[in-house]
Amino acid sequence: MTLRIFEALVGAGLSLLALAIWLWGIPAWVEPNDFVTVAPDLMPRVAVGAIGVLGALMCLHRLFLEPDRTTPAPIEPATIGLALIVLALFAVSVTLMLTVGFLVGGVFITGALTVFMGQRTWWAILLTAVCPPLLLWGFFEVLLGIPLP
Amino acid sequence: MIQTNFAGAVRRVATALTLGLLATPAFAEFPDKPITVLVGFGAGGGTDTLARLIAKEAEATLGQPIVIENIPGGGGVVAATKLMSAKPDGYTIGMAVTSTFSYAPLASATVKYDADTFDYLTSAAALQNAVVVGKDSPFNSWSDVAAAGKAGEKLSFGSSSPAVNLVMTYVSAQDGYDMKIVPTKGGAEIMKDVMGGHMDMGWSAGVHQRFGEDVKVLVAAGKDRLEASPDVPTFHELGYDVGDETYFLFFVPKGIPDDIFQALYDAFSQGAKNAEVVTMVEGTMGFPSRVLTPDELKQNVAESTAIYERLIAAAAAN
Amino acid sequence: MLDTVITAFSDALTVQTLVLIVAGVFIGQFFGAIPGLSALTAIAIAVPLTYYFTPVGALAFLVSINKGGTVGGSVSAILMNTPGTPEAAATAFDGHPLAKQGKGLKALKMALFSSVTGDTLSDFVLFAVSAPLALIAIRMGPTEMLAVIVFALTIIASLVGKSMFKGLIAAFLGLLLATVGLDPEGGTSRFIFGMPDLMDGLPISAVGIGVLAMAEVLRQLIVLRGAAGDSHLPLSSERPEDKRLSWAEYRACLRTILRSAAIGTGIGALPGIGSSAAAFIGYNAAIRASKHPETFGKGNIEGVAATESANSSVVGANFIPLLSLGIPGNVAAALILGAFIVHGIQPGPHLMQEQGRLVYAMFAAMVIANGTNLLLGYFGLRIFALAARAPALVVFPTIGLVCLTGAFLTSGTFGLPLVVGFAVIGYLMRALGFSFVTFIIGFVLGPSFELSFRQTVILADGDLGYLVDRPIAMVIFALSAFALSRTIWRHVSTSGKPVTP
Repeated sequence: MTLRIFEALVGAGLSLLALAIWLWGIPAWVEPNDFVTVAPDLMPRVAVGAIGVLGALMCLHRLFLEPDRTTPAPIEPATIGLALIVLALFAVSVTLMLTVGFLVGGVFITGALTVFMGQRTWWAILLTAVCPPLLLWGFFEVLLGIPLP
Repeated sequence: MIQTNFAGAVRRVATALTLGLLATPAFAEFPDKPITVLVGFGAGGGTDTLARLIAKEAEATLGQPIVIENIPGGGGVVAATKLMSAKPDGYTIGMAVTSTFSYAPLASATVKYDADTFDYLTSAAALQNAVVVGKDSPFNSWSDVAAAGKAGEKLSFGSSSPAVNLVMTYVSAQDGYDMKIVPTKGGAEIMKDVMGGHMDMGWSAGVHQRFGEDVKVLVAAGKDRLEASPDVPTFHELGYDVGDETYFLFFVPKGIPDDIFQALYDAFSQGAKNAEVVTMVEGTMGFPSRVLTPDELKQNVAESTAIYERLIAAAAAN
Repeated sequence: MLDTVITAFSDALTVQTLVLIVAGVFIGQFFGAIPGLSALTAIAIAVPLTYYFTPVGALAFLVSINKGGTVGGSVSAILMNTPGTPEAAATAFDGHPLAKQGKGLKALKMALFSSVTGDTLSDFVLFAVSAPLALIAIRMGPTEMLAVIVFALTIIASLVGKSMFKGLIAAFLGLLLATVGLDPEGGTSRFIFGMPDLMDGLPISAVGIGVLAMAEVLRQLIVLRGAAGDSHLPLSSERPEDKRLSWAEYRACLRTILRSAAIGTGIGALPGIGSSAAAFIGYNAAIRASKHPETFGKGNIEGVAATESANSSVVGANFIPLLSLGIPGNVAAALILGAFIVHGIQPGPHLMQEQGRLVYAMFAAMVIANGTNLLLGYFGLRIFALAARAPALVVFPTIGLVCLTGAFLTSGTFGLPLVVGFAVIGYLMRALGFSFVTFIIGFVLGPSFELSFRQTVILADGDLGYLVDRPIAMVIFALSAFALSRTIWRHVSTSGKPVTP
C-alpha cells in the first residue's frame, strides 16, 4: 500500500468516526439543557463536524490530487507489535500501582522496560528496576509525606 | 469505587505482610494512625486553607498526623464521591461546602449521593454571598436594579455557578423581567468585569471585600446580613424567598462509632474555635467564623436542599 | 526612591529568604528538568509548606520555584525531546535537533540566557508599569478576550506542519476534548460517562504529560530497542564552539529574545491565555521575521531563544493582574494567590498602599531569584547533560515511571490510566504525522475560547451593535482575519510543489 492510499483511508476512517459521534455519541453523552443561551452541544458539534469534513477532504485530496504516488505506507507489523507490548506493560504497571502499590508497579515497569530494551545482565536489570521507584517513593512518600498509590 | 476499596484492602494487607506488623492491638485508643482529610477543592484555595489551619490544631489534640489530600472537581463532588467508599472508621473524613450536598445532587445524575448519605461533623466559616456592582454603577440598591429591569432594560449579571443562575433567574422572574446571566470562571474574574463595566453586576462569595471602595454591595444573598456590610439588606428582607447559608464544613461517611465521632467532633470543632484560627479566618480571609454542631449542619443542608428544589421546580415551570 | 530599593533589598536579604530563594530555584529547575514532573507540581506541593514561613520568605520561595521551573523545563525538551509541559513543546523543535548534532550544551545555554533575559525584562515591566497595565487588563472584557484567543489560534494555525488537513484535524480534536466536563453555563454533563473525576474536564497536566512526554518515551523505547546500551544522544561535539555560547551568538538572537519577551509580557498581563500560547506565538514570530525560515525545526538556535524568552516572560507579567486585581493568570499564579491570602496579604487595587513594603521586598526577591536562576542553571546544566547521556535502557524506563508518578501527583489515581491513554493518542499522532502541537493548543485554549464565546453571545443578546461598540475587539478580529488569510495564501501558493498541503 502506498502512503497516498493509507492516508486516504485514515481520512475516511476519521470522517466515519466523526459521523458516528455526531449521530450517536453527542446525543448519548451530552446532556441537553433548555435553560441556557448556547446549547451545550454546540462546541462539540462544531469540533466533530470540522473533523468529519476535514477527514473527508483529506481522503479526496489524497485520492485525486496527491502528486506523490510511490512512497510506501508507514506500516511495519514489527513496530506495531512492539508498541502493543510496551502499552501492555504500562497497563499492567498501572493496574499493579492501583491494586498493590506504587513500589510494586514501579519496580515492574522499569524492570520490564529495561529488559524490553535489551538489558540482559541480571544485576543491571535489578538496579534499574529497584532504584528509580525506591528513590521516587523515598522522596515523595517519606521525605515530603505525600501519599503515592 | 468498589475496586478502590478492594485495592485499599489488598494494599493494607500487603503492607502489613511486608512489615510484619499483623498484630495491631484490638482495643487501641482512637486514633492510632494518621487521619486523611479529603479536601474537595484545589490546594491554595479558601477551603484548602481552612482545612489545613484546622487540621493543624486537631493534629495536636488527637496526637496523630493529619494528611490533607486535595481532590478538586465539581465543587466538592469528586471528593464526596470518593468518601462514599471510605470505611466509616474515622480515619478518612472530607471537607467541602453546603452546596456540595444540597445543590450538586439535584443538578446532575452523575452525583451518586444525596444530602443524607453523609454525617456532618462541624463547620469552619460562612461564605459571604452578595450581589455587587462597580463603584461607577448607576445602581445603589436592589430596588434601582429591579426598577431598571421592570422598565425593560436587559441587565447583565456575572454568575459563578449554575446554582447562582437559579437564584438570579428566580429573583428576576418574581418581578417579571429577564436578565442576561453570564457564566464566568468565578470570583476575581467577576470583579474585573464589574469594575471594567463589562457586566452590570455580579455575584461574589466574599471576594468583593478585597476591593474595598471599588465595588458597591447591593444585596446580601445569604440568610443573614453580611458582617462587613451590615446596612445592606438580604434578599429575604426585600421579599424574595431565596438565600441559603453556605458553610465550609467537614463531613464523614455514615456509620462511624459514636465515641470516635465524638472524638473527631471535639478535635475539629475546638480547632475551628481556636483563637489563632479565628483571627486568621475573620481577619485575613474575611469570612465570619461559624462553628456548628452536626445537627445544625444537617438542618443547614436540608434547608439549602429545600430552597434549591423549589428554585429548580420554579425554573422548570417557566 | 533609592531608600525604597534599599529597604526592599534589606528585607529580602535575610538568611531565611536567601536560603529559600536558592532552594526554590533549585527545586524549580530540578522538577522542571525531569520529564513528567514540572514546576507546577513542585508549587502545588510547596504551598502548604510555606504556611510556616515568613510572608516574604513564602512568596520568595514560590516565585523562585516558578522561575526555576521555566529554566528547567527547557532541559528535558532539549535533551530528551520530552517537554514536560506544553509551554516547553516549541523548545524541543529546534533544541532537540541541536542536541542530536552534539550541540546540546550550546542549546541549553541559549535556553538559560534567553529565559533569564525574558524573565528579568518582564519583571521590570511589572515593577515599573504594573498599575497602568492593570487598567488595560480591566478594559479587556469577554469580547476582547475572545478576540485575543481567536488571534492566538490563527497565529498558531500557521504551525499546522506539512499537511494543513492533518494539523487542523488535530486542532479540532483538541477543541473537542476540551469540552469534556460540566457545561460552563448550565452545569450539565458532557462526555463524562458517569465519572465524577471528569466533571472539571480532562486534567491538563495528565494530557500534557501523556501526549508530549510519555508518547515520546514510547517512541524512543521502540526505536532504540536493541541498540539501547548506548546513549540516545551523541557525544557532545569536541569542537569548543559547539559547547560554548559566544556573546556574538547571544547578540544575534537579541532581537528575537526581545520580541518574544514583549509577546510574553503582553500575554502574561492578560489573565487566562497563558505561557503555552506565548511560547508558540513567540516561536512563530521568530520564523516570520527570519531571513531563513526553512532552517527552523532543524536546529536553529533562534527557535530555542524565541520560545524560552516568551514562556519565561509570562511568569513575571502574570503578577500584573495577580497583584493589582487579585486575578490569577494561570494555575501557578492561582496557587501563589492562595499563599498570599494565607499570609494575610490581599492582592487587589489597594495592595500597594497597604503592603507596599512587602511587595517591594518581593520584587527584590524576584531580582535575586533571577540571578540565582542564572548561576544555578549555568552549573546545573552540565549535570543534566551528563545524566541525559546515561544508557538509553536506563533513561527511558525511568522517565516512563516518572511520567506515571507525575500524573498521579497532579491528578490522583485517575491520572494513571489517563496518562497512558493520552500517550497512545500522542504516539499515534507521531506515527501518522498529525501535529500534536495544534492538538495541545486547541486543548489548552479550548475552554477559554468556548467560555468567552458564550459570554459574548449572551452579552450581545442577538445585537450586532454590541460588537461594533467594541473597537479594541474589532481591531484584534481584523488582525486575526489578516493573519489567517496570509497563512491560507501561503499554503495554497506552495501547494503546487511536492509538499502536501
